[in-house]
Amino acid sequence: MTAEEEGLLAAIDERPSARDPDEGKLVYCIIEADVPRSFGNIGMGGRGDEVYTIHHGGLAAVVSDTPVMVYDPTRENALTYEHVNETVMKEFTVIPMSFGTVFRTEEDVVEFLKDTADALRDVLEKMKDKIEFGLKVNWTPETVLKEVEDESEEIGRLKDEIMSNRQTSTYFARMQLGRLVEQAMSEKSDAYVREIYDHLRDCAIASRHNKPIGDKMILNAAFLVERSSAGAFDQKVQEIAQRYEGKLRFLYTGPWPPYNFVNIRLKLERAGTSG
Amino acid sequence: MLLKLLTAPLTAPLTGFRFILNRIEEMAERELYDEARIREELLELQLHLDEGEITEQDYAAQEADIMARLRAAREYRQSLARPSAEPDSPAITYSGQEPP
Repeated sequence: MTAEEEGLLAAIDERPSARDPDEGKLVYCIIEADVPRSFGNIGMGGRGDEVYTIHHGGLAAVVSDTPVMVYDPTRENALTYEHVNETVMKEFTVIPMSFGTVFRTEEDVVEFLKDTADALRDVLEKMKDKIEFGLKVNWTPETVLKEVEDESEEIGRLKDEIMSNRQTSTYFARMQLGRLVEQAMSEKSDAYVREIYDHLRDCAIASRHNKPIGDKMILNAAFLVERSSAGAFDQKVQEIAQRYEGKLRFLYTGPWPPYNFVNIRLKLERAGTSG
Repeated sequence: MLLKLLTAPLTAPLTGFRFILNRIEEMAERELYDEARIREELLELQLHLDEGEITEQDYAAQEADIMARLRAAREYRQSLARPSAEPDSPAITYSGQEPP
């Protein structure tokens, strides 16, 4: 054993809890920090692993020790992952790593920080003091259907025709009705979505439109907001939610780290496989 | 030639049928191993829980089922990609996915 290695081992012994540089490292996020930090025993995997920092050149990866394995995106794991990022976010601007990113050793994490330092610094600068909010908007298709039927003369007429015509074939009338209803509903949904975006645009730096989940959702969006305008954004969301009370249901979440606005995977692929 | 003529009407429908069977198998496989789709299912399930439409217990049971399928899909993908998926640089093990 060289003196250097002995020194390293001594340093490890002085750490607050058992960290193994040769064990896998689950990386939660990247921050800018020079001083080693511990965020408590809140790591993923059910072992109560300590969440701490690995440093290189002013950057730090927030990690916990883990076996090298694939983490299932269960609710429990996802909540733990989020909890760590939220904890770190209270004090730092974070670049979240994709859920379940595992490096083999501490050295590999340092290599990653070294290889991607410029890009990481660049993104950290862009994300400085910015937070993300999630907004999902649901409607009640049955209620909207009724509205659509009441509002459109043609739809009402077709419906009456089909109802009163039990004896003869109504196949084409029903086809046409279906088409008209679908079109009217999609127009309505688009109008709602446009209005919501218009109302929130001024308070957000950027937004991302994600695919709606399930058949009741008309909007599934993420907004990037300046920390200082979080209050104003909040206010705007409350306003628009009130405007459509009884018609639309707003699921408003956050603040999050900018999950939807940073894609660190590209950097990893570059560093990891395609060269 | 004669043989071909005689068998043509017989074999054609058969190959057609087989073709369809293969297609169905392919589609079923794709559906079974389509990770993106399974993930969507998971998101939908989480939404149902958040909305209070299902209990924690229901959620746990269905989540376990989804996780099993996700693992199977992942293994299937890895089995297909084995030769090239072996990382050039062993330094980084990456298994990330979209944020929850």
